[in-house]
Amino acid sequence: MDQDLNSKINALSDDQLEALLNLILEMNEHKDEIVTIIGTQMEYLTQSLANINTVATILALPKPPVRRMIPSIVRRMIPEIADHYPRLMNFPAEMSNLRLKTCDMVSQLESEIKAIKDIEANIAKLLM
Amino acid sequence: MIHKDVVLVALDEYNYLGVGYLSAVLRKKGYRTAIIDPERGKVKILKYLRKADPFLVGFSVISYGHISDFTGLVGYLRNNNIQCHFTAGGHYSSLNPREILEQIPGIDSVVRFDGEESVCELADAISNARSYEGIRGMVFRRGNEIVFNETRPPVEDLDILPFPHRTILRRFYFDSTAATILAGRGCLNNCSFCNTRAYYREAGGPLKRIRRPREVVREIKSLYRSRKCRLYLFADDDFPIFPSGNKQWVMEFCDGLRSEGIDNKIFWKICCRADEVDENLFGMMRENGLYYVFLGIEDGTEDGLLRLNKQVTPSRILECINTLKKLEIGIDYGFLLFQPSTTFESLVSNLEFLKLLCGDGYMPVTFLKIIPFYKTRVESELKKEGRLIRGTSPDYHFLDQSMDDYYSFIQSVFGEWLKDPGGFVNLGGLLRNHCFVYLRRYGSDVTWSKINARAMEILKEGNLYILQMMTELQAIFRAGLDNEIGLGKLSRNIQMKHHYLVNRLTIYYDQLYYADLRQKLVLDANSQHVKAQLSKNLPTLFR
Repeated sequence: MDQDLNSKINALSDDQLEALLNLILEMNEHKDEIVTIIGTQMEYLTQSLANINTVATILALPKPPVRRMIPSIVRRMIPEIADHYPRLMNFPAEMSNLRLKTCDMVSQLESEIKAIKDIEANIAKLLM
Repeated sequence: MIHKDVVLVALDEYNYLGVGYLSAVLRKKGYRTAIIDPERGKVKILKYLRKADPFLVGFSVISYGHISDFTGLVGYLRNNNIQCHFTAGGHYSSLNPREILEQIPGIDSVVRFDGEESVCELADAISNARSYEGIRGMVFRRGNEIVFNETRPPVEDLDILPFPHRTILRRFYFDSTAATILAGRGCLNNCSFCNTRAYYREAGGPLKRIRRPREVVREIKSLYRSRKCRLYLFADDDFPIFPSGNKQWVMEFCDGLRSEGIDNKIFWKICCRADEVDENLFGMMRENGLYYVFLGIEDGTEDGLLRLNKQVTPSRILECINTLKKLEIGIDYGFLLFQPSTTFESLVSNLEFLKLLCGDGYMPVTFLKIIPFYKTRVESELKKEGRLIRGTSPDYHFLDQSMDDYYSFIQSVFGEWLKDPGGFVNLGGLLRNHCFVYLRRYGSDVTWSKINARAMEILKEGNLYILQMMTELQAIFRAGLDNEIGLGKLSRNIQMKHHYLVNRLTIYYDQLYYADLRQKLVLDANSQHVKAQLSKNLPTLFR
């Protein structure tokens, strides 16, 4: 166990503990948003691209338990998706909707990750 | 040296409740006892028995499926020079002692049916170097012969028995413990897939015995005081709601909880029949801690319920489900979607019925294939038709080969979804169960309402998905197109959908855990506990 973290938690007042729990609860909601975005888009992408496995592979969800994997897995995924942009952009014109959806997904994910980072910063402040 | 006189080897499926009673009566007579789980492995069990050096070891062989495990364990112990008396007991051993003695050569005897008195007499006989051949309820070897003694009538008054010896209580709701408990033994019903009636009829006793409500309350109070146990899972096949045609037992039980002041401190789950659910009565039970009900629904068609001899109609089942939902009591249920007579027509009707039950996400869609247990009507019918297969577990083929193919396919693509401990059905059921414990413990608040709504939303999505997939797949298998349509990709799509749903369920399971911690901080002012939990779990959030 991280002794430093342990002593910091022990030093918290009841009000600070409650604030910490509220931040964790809020962070979890953003995690759910991330899973939902990926899940929903993944379904669309795999349906649209029945024969193109690459996107499905990139977007394959982590195996549970998710607690330890998000947001790190998403942080890892974003550049991978970005790396894949050129290929996506080369798709035929009738797949423009897919490009839009992918870009939209990335922007939504980035916004959720920013929210989680802000919460992490607030948690770090509490535990200073 | 940790010497024990008697060691009981049993699976921890029901908190060792059955062997807990045996251990308690033996202890009352002054014997030193221990209960161990065969899951610990044969090497550890051997090591333990060498240290404990008992004169009697009892093996609880509850079902046919356990025979091979116990054969291996008993053989290993005998080969390693454990020479004391080995006896077997439990449900299957009682019904078929000859098979136990024939299949497991290292077993010396079988104690049949209620074993409390017989096992004490056996321990007395062995410890005093007397013969055990006259003990009622025993089956044993004499040379190459297997001798059946007269059956011992079951214990008439269950309240003369001491409370069961309990080892470590199982963790159930986050950091809380739960205890399994019995209000009685036996069942008056005669379902075609169950052998409980055959068991008690052969035992020669009444089909059902019930404890006095005040004694059940006394046991709960004792566990609440000594072990801080708040959750009680009644293991009765059919909780005594109308044991004498009236609700007197339940009224007295709830009065007892109230008068002891524990009605608001404990929560309990029961198993019962759908036709026993009455809104006023269950409302009163809910007020006294009832939070979850397991229903043996089994089938959603008139024909199917008749064949299973359930003595209930689909409309009555739906009425019961709606009542429980209205009362915000959690529901778990058994459903035998695959039966020896299942056809694609009956399957579709049952899938539609499951949609009526679970389409709102109140509980996960779950189902099983009937196992033809020993001495059930289902088993004897299959035997008569020449369809019974005796493998590691008794089985059968369906009437139509395409149904066998369909069943195998469903098991392979939805196996993780339906059976994995962390799969959709188990995790979804656990989350709902915990939601109802939280609701009883703290009442409804904004966080709970959100978590509960999300949990139902995720379960609804998963339930509709599996029902839709199964409906579409049955059409493919029914038409014999399963080899023509490429179903290979489906497995991966189902796996992705499953991971997505389970990830979401995991997040809300975590949410409930942190919401519970917040309640412990605010309502119970238990900041030390909260700090300890956070120290343990916080680092994992940021990895």
